[in-house]
Amino acid sequence: MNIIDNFDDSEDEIEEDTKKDKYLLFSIDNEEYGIEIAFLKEIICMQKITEVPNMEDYIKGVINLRGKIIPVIDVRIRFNLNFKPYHDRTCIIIVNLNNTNIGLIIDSVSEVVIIPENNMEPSPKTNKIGKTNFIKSMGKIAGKVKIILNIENILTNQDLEQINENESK
Amino acid sequence: MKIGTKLIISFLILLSFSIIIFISTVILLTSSREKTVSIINSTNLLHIKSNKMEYNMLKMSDGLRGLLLEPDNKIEKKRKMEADDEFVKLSDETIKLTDNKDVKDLCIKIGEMDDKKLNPIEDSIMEIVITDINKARSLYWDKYLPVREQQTLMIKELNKIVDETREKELKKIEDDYAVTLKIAYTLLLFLFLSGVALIIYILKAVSKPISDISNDANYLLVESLNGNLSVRVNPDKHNGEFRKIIEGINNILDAVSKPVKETVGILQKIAQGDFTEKVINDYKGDHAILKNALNDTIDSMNKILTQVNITSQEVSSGSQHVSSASVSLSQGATEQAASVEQIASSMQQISAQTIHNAENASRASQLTIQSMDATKKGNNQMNELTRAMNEINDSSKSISKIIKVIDEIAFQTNLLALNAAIEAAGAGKYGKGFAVVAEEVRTLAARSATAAKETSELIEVAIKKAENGSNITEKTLDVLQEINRDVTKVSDIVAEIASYSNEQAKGVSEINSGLAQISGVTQQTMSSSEECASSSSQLYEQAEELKNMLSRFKLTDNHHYFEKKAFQLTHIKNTQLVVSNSKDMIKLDSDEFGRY
Repeated sequence: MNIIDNFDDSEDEIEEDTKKDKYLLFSIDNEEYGIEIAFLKEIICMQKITEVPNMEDYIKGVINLRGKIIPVIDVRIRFNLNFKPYHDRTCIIIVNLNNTNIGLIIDSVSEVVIIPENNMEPSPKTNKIGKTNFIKSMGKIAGKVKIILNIENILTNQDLEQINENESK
Repeated sequence: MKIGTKLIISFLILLSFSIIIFISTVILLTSSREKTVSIINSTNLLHIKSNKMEYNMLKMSDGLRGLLLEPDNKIEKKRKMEADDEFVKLSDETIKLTDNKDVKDLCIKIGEMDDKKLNPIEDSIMEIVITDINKARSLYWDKYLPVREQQTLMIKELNKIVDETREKELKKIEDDYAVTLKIAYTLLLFLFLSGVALIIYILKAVSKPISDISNDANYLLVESLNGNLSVRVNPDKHNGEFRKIIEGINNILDAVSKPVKETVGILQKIAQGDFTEKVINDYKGDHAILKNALNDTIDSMNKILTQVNITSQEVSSGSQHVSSASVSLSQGATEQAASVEQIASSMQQISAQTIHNAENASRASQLTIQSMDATKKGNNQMNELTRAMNEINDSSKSISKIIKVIDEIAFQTNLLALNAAIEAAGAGKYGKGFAVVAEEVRTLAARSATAAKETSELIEVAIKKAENGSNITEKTLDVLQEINRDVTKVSDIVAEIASYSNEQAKGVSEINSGLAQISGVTQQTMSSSEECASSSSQLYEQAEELKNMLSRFKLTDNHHYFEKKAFQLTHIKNTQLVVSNSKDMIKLDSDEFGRY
């Protein structure tokens, strides 16, 4: 925690240059999604999940990563897809959201790519009213389209508060 | 011509004569009566007319006298004028009424007198009667009345002429009547004479032929009573009905004698052996009975002889058949003997072959035992092969485990490389080189992952193939065991064949002894069939003799029908015979076959 904090504080200007336009691609079912690398902490393989009661069903529980308690979300359930049993190749992506670390359970990770800003298209406004818009934009790369996710919308504020409360406790 | 018709014709002639006389008399009488009546009538009419004329003449003179007395009296004048007109009218009527020229002339004269002489005087009197009555009176008395008197005389003359004419006419009628009477008498006389002539002719025509015919009929009767039925009388001697009587008697004699003659002729033919003819003509009554009896006799003789003929033919043909059949039987027996010898030699061959079969069967049995050993060896080899396959399988599985470990390492490496890339990105421009290295590491990890994947697929294929191989070896084992079982069965069968072959050899020797018996029986058959042939030929000769005897008789055409029928019958019998023979033969064969 200290190391990362230090890193963030001291290398602020440089970070902006090097992390820009970089995305991590991962896949759920046969579809590939992208996350901005700026949010990323690290990628780990499947850990033992401790279930926490009285939570939303997509919040699977918490894991212990090198002594730190991190909540994990199953992105499939969050995306209203069917649950798929976890195995040793299932990956967890640790992201930092408003200084809170959260784990996202996905099928597999592919690679880190650079998508220039002019190859980005805004997200199509086809979502129904009342549903959370997970899509930030559409990235074109080598003739294919990758969905860039809006990480902030994966967890609601209420969820974050709950998690924070849990952490502070 | 018949006598009856002659009589009828002559009577008809007489009758017509009398009718003619009667009718002509009646006509003449009627005409004379009519003439008389017409004369009387016309005379009377003429008298009436003349009287009326006279009356009118008087009326005229009377009227004129009245005028002379009373000149102004118009009635008198009128009476006179009316009488004048009436007179003229009557005079015309009289002229029309009569044909007599004298009467007509006289009438015209009277009219002319009135017209030319009296009328002018009357006119002058009527002119001067008013003026000079005396002169008128003198005219009347002197001139008028004398003329009138003259006229009156003429009227009387007229009456006289009429009367004379009547007398003349009546006289003429009287003469006609006398002539008519004469004619009638003449005709009556002729009638009487012709009647007498007719009676004489009839008497002549009837009496002579009757005596002739009675003589001839008597002659015929006497002759026929003496038995001379062929005597006849020439009917041409007689005429008309009598000729018919004689012809009738002749016909009766013919009718009696004809059937007798015919019957005699047919009986003579029968005596010669000819049954072909029959009584043909139609007869009635007793003759019909005679005819039918004779015809029936001929028919039954025909039938009997035909039947005898047919029977003899059947016997003849039957004996021929028997003869030929016994000959063929003899031949068949000979052939049979030859065949039996052939069979005996073939049987010896069969005997040798069965012994050979038995030897071969025992050799085959040894070979099957050898093949059983070979299959057992094959079985052992197959078990070893299965073991080898299982070892291959085991080693493949351990390779597969190792590959999994490699894949796990590759996955971990990939994650590490990605984390390194993230870290490098966080390291700013100092991390760029590191990012490249991380990328390279990630690529290597990916490559080793794919290589591991491919290897594991290959290993899986190898495992499947090894499994397949072990399945095949199991099946091969089954097949080998089946072969083993079959070979055992073959061995049993071959042993059976060997034992049967031995039994067969025994059977063949039995067949040989049976064949010797058959040979003896065949010899017997040959001799007895020859005997049968000779006796059937004798029978045939006798039947032929019978046929010759029968051929003396001539029969009606019907016997052809019988012959045909007989032929058909024999034919059918023959075919049946043949069929039954063949059946017997088949039976014999099957029995013999079954016995050995």
